[in-house]
Amino acid sequence: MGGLPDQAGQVFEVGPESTTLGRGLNCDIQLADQSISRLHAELLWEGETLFLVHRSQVNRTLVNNEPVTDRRELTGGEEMQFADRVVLRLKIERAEAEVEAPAPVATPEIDATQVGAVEAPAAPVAPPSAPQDPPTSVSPASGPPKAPTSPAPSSPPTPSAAPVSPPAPEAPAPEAPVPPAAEPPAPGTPPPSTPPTPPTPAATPVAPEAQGLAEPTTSHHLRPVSSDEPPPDPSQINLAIIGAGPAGIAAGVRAAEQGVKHTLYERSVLADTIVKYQKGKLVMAEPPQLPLQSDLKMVFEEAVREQVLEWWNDAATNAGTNLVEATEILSIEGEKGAFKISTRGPQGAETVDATHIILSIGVQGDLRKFGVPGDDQPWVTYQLDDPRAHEDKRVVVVGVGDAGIENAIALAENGNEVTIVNRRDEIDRAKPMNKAAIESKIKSGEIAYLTNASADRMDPDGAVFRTKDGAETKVECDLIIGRLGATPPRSFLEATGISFPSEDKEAIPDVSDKYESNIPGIYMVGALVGYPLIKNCMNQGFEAVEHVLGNNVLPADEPVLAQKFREVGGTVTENLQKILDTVPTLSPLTSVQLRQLMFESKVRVEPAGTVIYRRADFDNTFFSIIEGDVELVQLDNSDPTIPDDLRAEHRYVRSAGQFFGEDGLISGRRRGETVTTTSRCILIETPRNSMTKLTRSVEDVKRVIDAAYVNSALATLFPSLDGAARKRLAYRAETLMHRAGEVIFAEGEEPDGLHLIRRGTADIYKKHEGAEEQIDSIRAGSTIGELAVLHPGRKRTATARAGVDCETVRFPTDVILQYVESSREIRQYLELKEQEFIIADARRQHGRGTMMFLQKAGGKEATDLLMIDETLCVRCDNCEKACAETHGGVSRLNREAGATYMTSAGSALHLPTACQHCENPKCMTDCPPDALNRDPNGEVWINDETCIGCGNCEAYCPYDVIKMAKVDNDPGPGLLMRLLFPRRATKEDAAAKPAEGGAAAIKKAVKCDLCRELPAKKSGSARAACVASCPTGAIVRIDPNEYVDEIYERQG
Amino acid sequence: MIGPRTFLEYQNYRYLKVSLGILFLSLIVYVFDDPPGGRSGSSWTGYGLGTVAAAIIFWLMWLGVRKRDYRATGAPLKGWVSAHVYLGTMLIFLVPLHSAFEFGMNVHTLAYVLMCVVCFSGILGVAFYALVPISMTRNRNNITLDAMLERIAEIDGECRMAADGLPDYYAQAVVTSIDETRIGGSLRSQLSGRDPDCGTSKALKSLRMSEIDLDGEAKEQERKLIELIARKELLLKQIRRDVRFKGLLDLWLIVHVPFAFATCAALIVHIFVVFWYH
Repeated sequence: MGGLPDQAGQVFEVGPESTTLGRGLNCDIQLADQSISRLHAELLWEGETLFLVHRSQVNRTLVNNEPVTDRRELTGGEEMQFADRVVLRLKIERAEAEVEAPAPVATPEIDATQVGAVEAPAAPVAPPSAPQDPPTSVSPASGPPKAPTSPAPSSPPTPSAAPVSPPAPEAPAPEAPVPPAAEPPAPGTPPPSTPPTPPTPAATPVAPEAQGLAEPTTSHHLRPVSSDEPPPDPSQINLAIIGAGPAGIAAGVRAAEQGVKHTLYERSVLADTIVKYQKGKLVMAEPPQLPLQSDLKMVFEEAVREQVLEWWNDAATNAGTNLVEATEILSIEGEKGAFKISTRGPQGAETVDATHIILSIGVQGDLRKFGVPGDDQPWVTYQLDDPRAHEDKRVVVVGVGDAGIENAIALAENGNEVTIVNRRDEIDRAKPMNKAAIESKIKSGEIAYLTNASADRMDPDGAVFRTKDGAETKVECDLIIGRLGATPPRSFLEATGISFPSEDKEAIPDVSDKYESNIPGIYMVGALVGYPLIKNCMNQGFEAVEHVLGNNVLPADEPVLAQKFREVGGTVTENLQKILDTVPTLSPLTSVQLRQLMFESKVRVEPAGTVIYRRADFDNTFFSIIEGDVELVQLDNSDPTIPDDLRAEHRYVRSAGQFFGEDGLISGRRRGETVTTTSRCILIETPRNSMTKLTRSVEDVKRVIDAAYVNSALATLFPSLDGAARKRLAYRAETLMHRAGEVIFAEGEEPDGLHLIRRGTADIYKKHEGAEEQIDSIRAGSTIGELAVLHPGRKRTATARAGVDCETVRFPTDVILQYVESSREIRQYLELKEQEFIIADARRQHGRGTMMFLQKAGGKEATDLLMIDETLCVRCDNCEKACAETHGGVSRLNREAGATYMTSAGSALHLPTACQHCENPKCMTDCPPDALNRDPNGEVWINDETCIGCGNCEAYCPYDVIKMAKVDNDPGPGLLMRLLFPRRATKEDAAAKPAEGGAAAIKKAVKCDLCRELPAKKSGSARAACVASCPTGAIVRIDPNEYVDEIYERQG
Repeated sequence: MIGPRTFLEYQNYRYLKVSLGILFLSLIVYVFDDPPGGRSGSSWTGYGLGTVAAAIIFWLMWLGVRKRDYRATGAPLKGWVSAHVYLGTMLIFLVPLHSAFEFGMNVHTLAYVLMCVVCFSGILGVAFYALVPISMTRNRNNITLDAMLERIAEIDGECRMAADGLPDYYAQAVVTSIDETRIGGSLRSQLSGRDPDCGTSKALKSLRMSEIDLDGEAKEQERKLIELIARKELLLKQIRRDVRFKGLLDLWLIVHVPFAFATCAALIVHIFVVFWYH
């Protein structure tokens, strides 16, 4: 790895608009020091003034020894310090040219020097050494020690004298006798979290634009890079595999097969996590298309817990794996070929040797224990094997994560008296379905709830908890289950010398494409490096052993990837390298992450003139361009009253290295543009779910995409804004998250600016005569809060609440105000929005609550509404019967439930509970297996083969149209049989029938799918079974606009 | 406007036109055929019209099967119902044409009488279908039956709590209200929509007639109890009306379907007799 000494004395140029500085390879000025954040700071021109903007969320920036928390103006000659070791000096030279251009004419330069050379030229500081080298002169040479180590809770442990540990980013090393200025910024205050330089779509049709951060100038190597040493002598290898999960077992089996001396260490028992599963639980084998390494002699496919344990124990026994259980690893020292591992087993502590190490320890870490008097009693446990083994007991479950909630509910349903204890009063770590379930059980009184309480001691008859105010509560019980989470293994790894890319506690350590960490000889596989799925773990364990032996093993996904690249030509490795070299957005990925992404994506080679997608299409994949150019055509959105065919078109070009289709990452939105290739193109098409996973795990990717979103949203809303203005706006923008039901802003408050809804829906309420009434619902892609910007000084005129979990981008008032004055377009837009608001409010008053009614019943979002005319409905329920009979015995329609609108003229229009196939389906927000799909015609349907029954969609749907049920697709005896022999012709109870594989059939999500699988009716009438089976014609499916018209017509 | 979609208007009254067309043609044939022996059911016209009528009757019966075929392609159910209603009504007039207005105390006329019962019950059904649903909606007032029953159960619980601590007289009233309240029951009581013996009404009366002197908190509880029982009575009225309406909507079927089978049986006998004894 390059270090700063290489860069001493180097001069960097500062660009005309923005220049990024950081460790990331995409930065304009790359500072290759471990203590620097990937995007650390930015030099930004505003008019003729140069600002230094602090970007890092973790490390500090100082100018002339004063910390910069937001931005600071620079005039030249300042010394900018980044983190603790890197100092750059700024020089601004003005050119002599006689130009009256408003843009800065200066050609600024930056002089890079090293810390220590500022005043005391002696004792240059040691470069950030590779962790296995003993740190050289870290002792402070002269001058007072550096500013006190910040009390950051997220900082890694300060390595004092540990021999193998790397110098921590805030080590007391650099002497720099600069007087310690103010404390470094407190850990909790983030700098204005804004996206970095947003991309700029050009306004001219031809020139390709800069997108994302600067183009990489050097070829990016996968890092860390494994050495090219010759393969070791197999007889000299002594392999230590730590962790006997699927990855470790696979490694152990392979090592035994290869005749390599090895030991598989496990702190409890083989496959401990699966052993702890509830009895009979189904273990899934995702992803289905991934093959297992064919030479691995370890069986695995989707099966119940007991079967999987049998397979794996057999595999280890048959191969002759040297398994050592009940042994904890305390520390690892040494180097490749001569590692020393200290262990503690049943016999006590000892130190063992190893030449190579494979770490497959997962991310569960050490289970947290209570640590209070009495916690060693037999009624205090940390797991629940079988909830059905407990009946009529009083049980206390401590912890409101997924594990705690699931245990509490299972026990309560089995007839136990359960109390669940929360250390705080928020339940925010659990899956939405679990959260909803426990809240409902608490509300109904089935489960007692104790908040803000931690265990104080355990007595024989119960547990004593202490609440925040010091009071004690005793809960009598027979059993206490602690689900307190785990300490992640990061501290162990860092003590070993493994480096992490950032302070983020979710950060994953980098590995080379051979799974080798930054310490040669130590390999890391499985969940530890971001691959929690069992099949991945097994393959990686196998492959790591092969790499230790120096064998060239093809990763298991190689044939799948090779097939994808077939049309492109070249080897898989060549293609992956090309992708990393070409697409800056993907370059932060490790090789393993990139392979995973490609595994889930499609490679498309398209000739010129191919339409990739059209405006208003429902698909939502993300496209990265490897080669070629595409053209995006968008309609001007500034005046929504103009019909589509009369609007102006905006054209943009995107080229190799850029991306498009990012709007699809926001659930369910239709495409806003038509994209056509203008040359032969090679594209990577990535499904929405994979991209979402990626943005969650790789911060840099998220930033780029966020920035692209803000930029393109601004470009769509205000096309007359130029790139620089958009950048400035985007820079000041702040992305905010709002939970469903949370207030985004409240009526009567001081306004905080204009909000652009990136994801979700905001419901607008206004108080009338004391009562709050909803007047409108604003979808993603649109804005809220315009009035306050249009009329500065006024307070908020309405309340905006998140209808579902929402993300908004907030542009502060002062920033927008500048543009309101200067841009007629923006002013017009805001005035238009004001009109809409006034009309909506008026309608509310006049329409006798039609809007409210539609809002509650969901009609406003629907693309397809099921409506029953209750003057015709004879309540025969044939519609429900028809739905059930054509859908596996479960009706997706509840005729009786739902709201009815009675017009004054005596009509009654009822909206039964049934899926409305919303414009922006909330149910699609978080479907892990991507089982929710949208047809080109707009129908939203659930693929019940891929559905895993997690219930997220049910929790997200605000209209209660999804339910979890066991579907039985056996049609049963025929019609004639049923008519003639009604008693005999019944089906077996579906609930009693076990599914294949022995596991209990699970409940899956079901909802209306517009009968898309039924054959079309010959007469051209509705396909939906409910509509076709209504004897009087009361039930119809209509366009929601028709519904409103119908009401107004029938008002008379 | 969403467009004509009710079963009566189906496809622009297509089956009304079809039925009238068939009737009209039959009338023409009837008028123009005047055989020497006089018009009768046994003339060729008679046989012809009889076959048509019988075919229609068997086709009308098929609705019972079609109604339960939820995967059927082809015309939607309301189309079938539309045809059923118009053709069925038309039969009232077609059969006399077939029999040349010959009636008597025999199985042949029995078939016709049974058929008329079926048709008139059907017409009554259509009338109920037109009048009852909107009343049902108004009565329900945007609450489901399950919700109403749940609310009653809740009230019962609250009544028990309110009577707790009051003299036995009150507990007795609560017990009466819970034990002697019935919803539904015999056909008659369902259709009447009320229950003269309703335990809740009795309880309410007895509460209001109470001569026991209470004060303070007990008085509060008594007031609360009266309010609860009164609410329960209103809910019960609402539910019973709902039951009545539902009963009316289903009532005509109790006549229509059995008599339809009876008609079929009589028809088969009629045909058999006509040909066997001819």
